[in-house]
Amino acid sequence: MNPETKASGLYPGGNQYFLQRQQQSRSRIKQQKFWFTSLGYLIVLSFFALLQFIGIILFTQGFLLSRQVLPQVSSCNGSDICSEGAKFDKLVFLVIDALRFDFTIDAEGSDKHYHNNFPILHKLSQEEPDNALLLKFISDPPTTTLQRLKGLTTGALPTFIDAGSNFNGDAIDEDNWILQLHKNNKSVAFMGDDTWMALFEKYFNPKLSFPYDSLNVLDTETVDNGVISHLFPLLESENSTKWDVLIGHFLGVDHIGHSYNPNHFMMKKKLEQMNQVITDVIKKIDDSTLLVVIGDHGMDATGNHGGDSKDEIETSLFMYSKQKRFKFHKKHKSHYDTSDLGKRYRSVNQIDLVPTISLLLGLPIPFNNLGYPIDEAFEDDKKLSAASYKTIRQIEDFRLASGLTNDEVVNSKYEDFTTFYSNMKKSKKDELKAIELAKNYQISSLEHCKSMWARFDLNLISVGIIILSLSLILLMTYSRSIPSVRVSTMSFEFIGSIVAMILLGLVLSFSVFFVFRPHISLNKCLSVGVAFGITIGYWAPIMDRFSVDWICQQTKDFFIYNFNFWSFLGMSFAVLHALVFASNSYVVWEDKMISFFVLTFGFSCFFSCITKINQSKYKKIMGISHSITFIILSRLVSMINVCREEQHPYCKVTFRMSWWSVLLLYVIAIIIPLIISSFYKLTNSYYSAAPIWIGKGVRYMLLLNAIYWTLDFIGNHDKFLASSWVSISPILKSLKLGIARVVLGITLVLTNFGWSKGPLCISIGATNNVDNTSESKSSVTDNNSSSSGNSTSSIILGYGNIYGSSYFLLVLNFAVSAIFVSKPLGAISLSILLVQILTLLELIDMLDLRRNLLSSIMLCILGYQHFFSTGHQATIPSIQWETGFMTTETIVFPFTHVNIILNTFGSFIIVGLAIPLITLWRIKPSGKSITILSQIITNITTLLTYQTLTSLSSFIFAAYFRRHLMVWKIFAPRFMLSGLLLIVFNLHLIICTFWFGSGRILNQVNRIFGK
Amino acid sequence: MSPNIKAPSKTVSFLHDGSTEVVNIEDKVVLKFPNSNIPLLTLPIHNAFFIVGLFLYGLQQDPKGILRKNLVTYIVIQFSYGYLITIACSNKKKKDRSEDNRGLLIGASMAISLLLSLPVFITLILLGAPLIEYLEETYLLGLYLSLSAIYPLLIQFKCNYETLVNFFGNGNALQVVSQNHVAMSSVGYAVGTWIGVIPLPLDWDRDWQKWPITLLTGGMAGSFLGSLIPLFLDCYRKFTSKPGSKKEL
Repeated sequence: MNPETKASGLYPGGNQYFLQRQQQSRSRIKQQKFWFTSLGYLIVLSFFALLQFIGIILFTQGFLLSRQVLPQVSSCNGSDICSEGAKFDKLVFLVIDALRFDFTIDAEGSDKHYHNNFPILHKLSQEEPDNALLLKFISDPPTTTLQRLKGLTTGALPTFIDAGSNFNGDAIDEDNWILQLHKNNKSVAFMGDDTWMALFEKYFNPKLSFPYDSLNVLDTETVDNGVISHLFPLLESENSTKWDVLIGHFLGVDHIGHSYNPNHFMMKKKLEQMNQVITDVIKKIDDSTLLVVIGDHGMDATGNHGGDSKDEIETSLFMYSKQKRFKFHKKHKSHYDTSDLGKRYRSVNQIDLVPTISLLLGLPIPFNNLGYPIDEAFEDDKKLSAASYKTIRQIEDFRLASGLTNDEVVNSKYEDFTTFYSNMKKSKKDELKAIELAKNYQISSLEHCKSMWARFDLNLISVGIIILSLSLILLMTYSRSIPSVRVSTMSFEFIGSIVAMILLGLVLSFSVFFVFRPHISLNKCLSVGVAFGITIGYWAPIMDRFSVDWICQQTKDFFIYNFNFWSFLGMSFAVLHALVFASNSYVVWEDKMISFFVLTFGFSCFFSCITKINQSKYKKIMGISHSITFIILSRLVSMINVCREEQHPYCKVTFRMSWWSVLLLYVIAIIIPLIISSFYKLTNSYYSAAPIWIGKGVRYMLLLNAIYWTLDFIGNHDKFLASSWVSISPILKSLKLGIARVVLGITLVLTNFGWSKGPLCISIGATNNVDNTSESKSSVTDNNSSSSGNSTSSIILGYGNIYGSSYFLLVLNFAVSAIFVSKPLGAISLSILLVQILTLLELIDMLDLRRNLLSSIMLCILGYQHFFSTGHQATIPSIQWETGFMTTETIVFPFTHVNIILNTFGSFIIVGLAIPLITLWRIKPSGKSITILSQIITNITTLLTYQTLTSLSSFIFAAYFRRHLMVWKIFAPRFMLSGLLLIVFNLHLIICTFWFGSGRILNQVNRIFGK
Repeated sequence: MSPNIKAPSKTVSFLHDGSTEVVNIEDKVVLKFPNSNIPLLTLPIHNAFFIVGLFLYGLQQDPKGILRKNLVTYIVIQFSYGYLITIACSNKKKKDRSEDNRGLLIGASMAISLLLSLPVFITLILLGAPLIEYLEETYLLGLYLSLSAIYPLLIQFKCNYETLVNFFGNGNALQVVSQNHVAMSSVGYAVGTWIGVIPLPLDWDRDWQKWPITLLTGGMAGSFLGSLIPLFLDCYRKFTSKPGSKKEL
């Protein structure tokens, strides 16, 4: 019994004041102790997270080698990399997005919509061979616009990391010819795709830049019409003094490819329009202007691009000038053979355009360039050899600056070239020889750079894996081997020794760095020191207090304790999920595997509920119905999916916008609050805060969600776009923005603030029956009338689930915001997730799985299931970027990012937040809040252990399969997902789940009931 | 209002709820479950032979046809297997009247297990079997599952639902079940079918990856292997208890 009640028995009445004081100080001490303990946990968990972050970062740096970006900018002062003078004063640079090479040449006998509709380029190159030049233009994968623009302006190679940042489009910080133009006081006019603005905004003439939104792929006209309307006025002679370089970027071809397919009648019209535009431009330009028309990449048979297939990388380069003094230095005709869709047509690399343009415009070649001047653009061999010399000098400067000069082959080729060039006679033969040597050098230097930047740093990879393995072992012992009671008292021992060991590790790694000079940077060396410091700092107190034998004994105990069906199930899920990464087929079909796990668990619950003896009939029926609900919902959810490329033809995409999915949103807006409230009523806790939150809040928010997606559906519908109603689409757009801001503002900020004030779902009711055995009620009797038990007394309704009912409201806050940023079927999936979590909690309570490791694992697996059913896959194209623009029209930090994170990791955020419910659901207020907290920590770390295990496994296999054909398509994206998940889970579990959620709810209930 | 001030005026006492009256059943009542003592006779070796036979017959080429054709064969086999189990079960006990109903028991069990193929089929669908295509294959799999996993259990437990539930639900289930090889073969069948899913996603494009061959094979192999577990446990126990006196088994 509580000491308080004893005390009140000893001192009746008189010493009330004394008692009050005593109790106050007692609860204060208790609260302080609780605060202290949770702070200890927080710091220890943060150290663990730090350890994992270090592991992830080191591995990532070893695996996804990013290119070194040098800040140097070329200049003409004191170097000979500039041309003596500009061949052209002005440049018109037109990009036609996704212009595949075969679109521009004669395709005899083809009746495809994309063939023979853009003949002007090839025609001119035939009819005016001295003035026009058409070449096949090879782009480096990834064939996405941002990467291509970077390559086309800097002359450098892209890396894998860049592809991921396509969305972000950070301003370019490498030397490029646009920057050089700006530096040389040229006026650059720009119109078209706004990707350019993200990269080069500061170099453009602000009065002459007209960007258009590039993301709306359904709109095939706005950008092109905009470009045309600004392009031709500027080409008029009265305006020609305003600009020196004019850049236009057409998007129509690309958008038609994305929205329809290349062989669509719209493509024919679009290409004819482009043909007309180029014809008109050619008429307008003056003699001193160079016209360059290029495609930035091609498109595959479906109209998409991004990969490295032949159709995606092959595009066109067209150059034209009317200048009398200038002639293209064409090669023999056989180089320009258009038969077989131009299979044997002469091709150049996209980066080769960079030195060409720079030299023709009299600019210094960008510092990072790796390309080689295009032969035809220089009138004769003499000019070409001079151009080659400049380019080679620039490339060599770059190699020196970036420390790439350790390859002897390249070095010797450079020697060959320089010695030959300095002793060269002015004969045609020698010039040809010089050009050949220069080309040799450029090719091998390019190859060398490619191999450097595509090479894996095995040292970093293994260090990363070792650190993650250490963190896995550490988490395993922390979560399950050491009794949670001990762990709670050891926090500050851990912190002390970890801090000390980190300092030691820092000093040691610092000295190692300066004494042994390893081939890694100081930061990496220090972080390795920190990582080992954390590990040793963790083990020191354990080893100090216990022994190796004890640890072994604990491990043995762990297995004995877990020698039951449920733990086996949990562990086999973990092991199987980790083994998924050993084969590309399983990674591809991971969504089905996860659903199978969930359903297996559901059936195990069903079986176990049926065969459970010694249980009341009511409980048995409830158990069976909960498990059936769980199974059916899980099966339903598993039918919502998007297919990855590799799953074809065995997979049908069901994750689509359709009228019925939008209609279902209204249904869930009605049903979901009802279902949740019925679960609350099961525990008799649908009182005070709960009706407001669930009955009103969730319902209205879901209704707004449904309205939002209805507007979205209407606004993008073909019939709407074709009708005269299309004029109201700006209103629709602003309405949508308004709704999105209101909903996300309320769910993410307002309700969480409200929740932090501690709403409880309890109510005071009166009853005559004190001996009520219903588990969710308890009687509160007044001190004065405590003599008899059968008088009227008040009871607290919702007492039996006081933590759980209140905590679940927090889960709802995040869940509703995640539902909102998901597309309709994703929203339905996430609503089902809420019901699944509730049934799971009931089942956990019924089957007594609270302490079992399976419960956290199941929540995590549910998170995975809904990751897949909200229209995601472990591939980069499946990221739903468009949800980033729900609250803002342009990219605004942090709103766009928050939306995308919520959309991508929404299910994980919900399940992560639901972790404490395993402990909290259906328990009564307890005086031992620290014990509850330690159980929550156990579950949190179990979840982290599971995620670390799967992440580690995917890291190991990604590294193991680094030479696998499918590494960039399957293993690397999955590894990136694992790494991100581990980071998201760590941050979310520590900050939201533990600190914000669990800390507050325990404190709140403790303050009121915890005596 | 601070709760600290409110506190002394009231005492809150918590009534014990109903759930605390967990009855601590004394484990003195030893649950009696059928346990056959001639395991070799009732080992489901026929399952292993049957699946090999199916493969020889051309299961890989036409799973649906072969499974359909051999269903009757399998039912006949299971009839005789059921008869063996009844012999094995009744052998140990004194001759009681159950022997008279042997035919009825076998027939009833067969009928029930054929009926139960429908719930098994629904279970398979719910567990993720294809919803639209391959329905017949799935149903055939359900039939075989029900015939080879549920039928022997029904016979051994004389179609008594209560005993069956108690058998799997008692506190000592792990030990009790692992000693009964008929039950273990059923468990093995279920586990084997579960594991049989694993080769499905592999992109090897082999004939044997056709639905539901892997599941059936897994189940058949699992039932045989599962039934061996009690034997091994038995041997292990005998082996470890050798030095001391012979313990009762």
